[in-house]
Amino acid sequence: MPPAPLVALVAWLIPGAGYLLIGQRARGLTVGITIFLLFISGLLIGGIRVIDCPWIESPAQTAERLRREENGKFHLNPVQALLQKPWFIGQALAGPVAFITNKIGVSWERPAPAGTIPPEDSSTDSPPQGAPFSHSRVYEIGTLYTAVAGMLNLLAIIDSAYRASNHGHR
Amino acid sequence: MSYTPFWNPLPVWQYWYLLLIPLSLGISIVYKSVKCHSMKSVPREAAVIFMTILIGMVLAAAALMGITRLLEQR
Repeated sequence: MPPAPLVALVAWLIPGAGYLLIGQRARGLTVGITIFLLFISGLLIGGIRVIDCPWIESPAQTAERLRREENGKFHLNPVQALLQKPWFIGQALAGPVAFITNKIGVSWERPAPAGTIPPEDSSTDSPPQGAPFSHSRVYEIGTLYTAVAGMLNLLAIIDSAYRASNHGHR
Repeated sequence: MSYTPFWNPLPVWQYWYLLLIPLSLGISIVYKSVKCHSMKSVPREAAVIFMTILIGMVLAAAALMGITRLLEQR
């Protein structure tokens, strides 16, 4: 039986994989697929920007933060920044996929549809903003789906690590 | 505006509360997969807890709506 910390790490990296590592294939696949579907459903419902990591910013967000900090306002250390976006704590428990998704979201630029003329005021020096944020209920539900997926993965991480230290039993 | 998956939010503004149903189902499946001794009992156990969550949410919503109406009448 692999050591419990290794099982916990693998379970965080890939939801459900902790169970696979200790030989519980059906449990691992059920948990992993369900958590994955919840996470993807959250992104489909609220858009990719429901994952909002406080430390990964689009160029526009960085410029805005630097402008505020130059004015001497709202300087936050990393912990304060995280507490401003507490849902990300839950989302991050779903694994590295949360960070990768956020990175894609902040760097995703959709070109204007073919045949359309960009607006006059779209100056070239405005930094890219990434994918747009959604609002209202769909944003909340999308955030809820992804955070619940992460918190369910925390259950699976703890359970699979405990089972690893207890010869596969609870 | 056309819907682009992951870029635009899902256009379900009027029916957002129905999205709590698949969420409850996912929670039920994962919770019972972690909790149950044998995976054979998971479908039945998950169905029971799923229905319990749904009925609980409906009752809570009805109770809150009743309290709200009562306070409105005062």
